[in-house]
Amino acid sequence: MRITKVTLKNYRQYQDCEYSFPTGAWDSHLFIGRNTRGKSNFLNSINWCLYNDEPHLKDKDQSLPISNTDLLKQCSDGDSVNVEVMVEIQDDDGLYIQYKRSADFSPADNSVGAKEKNNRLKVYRQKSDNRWEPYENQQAQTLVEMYFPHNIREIFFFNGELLNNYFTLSTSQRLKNTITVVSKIQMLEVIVDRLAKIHDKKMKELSRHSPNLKNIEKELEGLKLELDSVRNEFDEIDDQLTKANKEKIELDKELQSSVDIEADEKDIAEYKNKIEALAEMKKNKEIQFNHNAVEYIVLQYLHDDMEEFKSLIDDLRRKNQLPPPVNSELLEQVLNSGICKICNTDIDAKKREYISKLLKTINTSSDIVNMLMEQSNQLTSNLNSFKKIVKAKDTTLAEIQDMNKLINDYDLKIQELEKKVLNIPNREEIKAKRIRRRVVEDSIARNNRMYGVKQLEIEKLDELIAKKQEEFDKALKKQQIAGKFKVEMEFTEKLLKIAQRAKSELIEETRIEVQEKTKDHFLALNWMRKNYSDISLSKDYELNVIHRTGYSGIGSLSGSETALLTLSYILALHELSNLSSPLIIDTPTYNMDGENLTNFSNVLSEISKSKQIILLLTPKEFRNELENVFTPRLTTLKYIESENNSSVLKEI
Amino acid sequence: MNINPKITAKLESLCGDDKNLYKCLVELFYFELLNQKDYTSVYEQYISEFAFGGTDEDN
Repeated sequence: MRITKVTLKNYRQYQDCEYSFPTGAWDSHLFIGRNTRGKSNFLNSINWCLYNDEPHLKDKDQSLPISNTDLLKQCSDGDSVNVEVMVEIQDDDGLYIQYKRSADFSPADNSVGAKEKNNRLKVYRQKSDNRWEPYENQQAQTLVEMYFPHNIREIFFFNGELLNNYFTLSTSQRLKNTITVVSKIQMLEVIVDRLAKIHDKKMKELSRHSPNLKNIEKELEGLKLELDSVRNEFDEIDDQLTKANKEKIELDKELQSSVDIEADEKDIAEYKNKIEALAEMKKNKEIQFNHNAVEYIVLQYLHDDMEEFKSLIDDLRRKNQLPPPVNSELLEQVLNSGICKICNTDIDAKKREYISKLLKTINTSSDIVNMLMEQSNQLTSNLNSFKKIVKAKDTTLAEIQDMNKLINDYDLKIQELEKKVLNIPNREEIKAKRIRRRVVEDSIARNNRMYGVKQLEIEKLDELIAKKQEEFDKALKKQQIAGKFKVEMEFTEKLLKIAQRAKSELIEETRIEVQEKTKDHFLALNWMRKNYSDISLSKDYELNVIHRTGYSGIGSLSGSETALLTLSYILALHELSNLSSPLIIDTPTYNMDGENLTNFSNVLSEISKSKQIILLLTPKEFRNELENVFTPRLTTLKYIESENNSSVLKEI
Repeated sequence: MNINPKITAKLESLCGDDKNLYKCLVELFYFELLNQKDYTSVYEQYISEFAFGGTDEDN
């Protein structure tokens, strides 16, 4: 890849400058200019075009505006200066790419600096059918990165200062980073980082999609076994029912016209039971009757005398021939106290005797009356009892007679039924079949109940199995997903391990390769081999030059030797990067002279055989040593001159 | 723009006979060359594709 054209429009001191880089056997282009003519700004313009910055300014804060200041001064209110830098390259396939950055600048309000707007990069890429395809924004920047990676631009565009101080200014980490970027291992680092994140994510997904399928399967199998068992029981019941129903139909058919011996026998048994109960009741009634009869006979015998005696007493009472009842209590008190209760005087012995006789008479009379009254009451009671006993005797007798009648009736019925049963032919056989039918009917009833129970159990189990099956299907699906995640996670793990291993091995291999290639370039020259025997790039990325005496000699390198070491290192990186980008170096030899300058010029010109070299030199640098080396190998030799306040390229 | 051939050679050697592993890593490199930021879905797509034997075209 090489730069084929650069155009600068209103960029700093370049108002209108265009240069097409010719091709030749050597691809070396020298631009010579005194200070302030625009050598460094030529390099800056390429940086501005590609990266929108200018790293080769001495003091960025106090630098002039990017736009040409003469034109900026001429701007009236609202006017602006359009700045445009175009870098055209030809890639290794011979197709062209144009990087074109433009921006508008107007004077700043404080008349210091300029206001910038409409800054944009456009890239036009020639396609194999010669069409030009435009790119902007991220796509345009990607096309910059493809040929001039921003983070390693220092190995394409640099100045003499960097050549002399590269290993002083650069830390070992910077060297490592540059090597990593150049060899594109940084992309491997990105892949490792991203794969690690994806791996973590897959791990989490896997743990989320791992159901306990075995348990669910075991439960489902258990339910299915239970269902099989219940179904077997159900089938058995169904079979028994079918058989029993069939047997019952046959028995019904056989017993259809037969006498119901069972019913008759049952009736006989019932009648017997009734007779037995009646006999017991009759026995009690007879006992009761006998008891009444004895009492009746006694009372019957005394009845007339009792009536007569009662009538006599009643008659005496009616005629008031019975003495009245007298209270002897007063007389007893008088006798006991010896004082009359009426006159309250003491009673004498005569009176006492009299009262005693009177009291005795009264008591006797009262006793008789009382006895008669008691007798009368007893007689009344006995006569009433007699009446009751007569009635009870008659009732009991009637009851006993009724019972006798019933017992006789039942006896007759029993005899009748027994006669009927005894006369039935095959009586025992029919009886056995009837018993069998009853057993079958019991079995049907029992099995019908069990049939229903088992049917419910089956329905319930079917429901449970359907639910469990659904759960199992879901779990299975999850497990299938988990299986997929597992495969993907293991695959990611392998990718990650390989990427990590490739990264560490490539970093190490690249380090050794950079070391060897730097050494190749550095010691390719006899004048270097005279003094130095080896170059080492340690694992800590410390570059060192080993003096032929064996001592570390980087500190004692001359300016040109240091520049050559840097150049060797940069060329080694170029080779490793697979990028064929040109080298643009500003004032590469400003502190060299004599043999060193000749040697260094020889190295640069040799490089231009295979790589485009653009050198920006001061007239002081373009001295005999360098001129002698380059003149026969030059492709371009131009002076940067100022003409009408604008830098232009002129032939020498 | 191509991947550094040293990297592809290294990956090929480390992947051995597992061609899908190698192809997947190369695809990831091409993806990264395009400087893409939203990588998750693309990475997962490649992983899923190559973990189960790659595309028909690859087979």
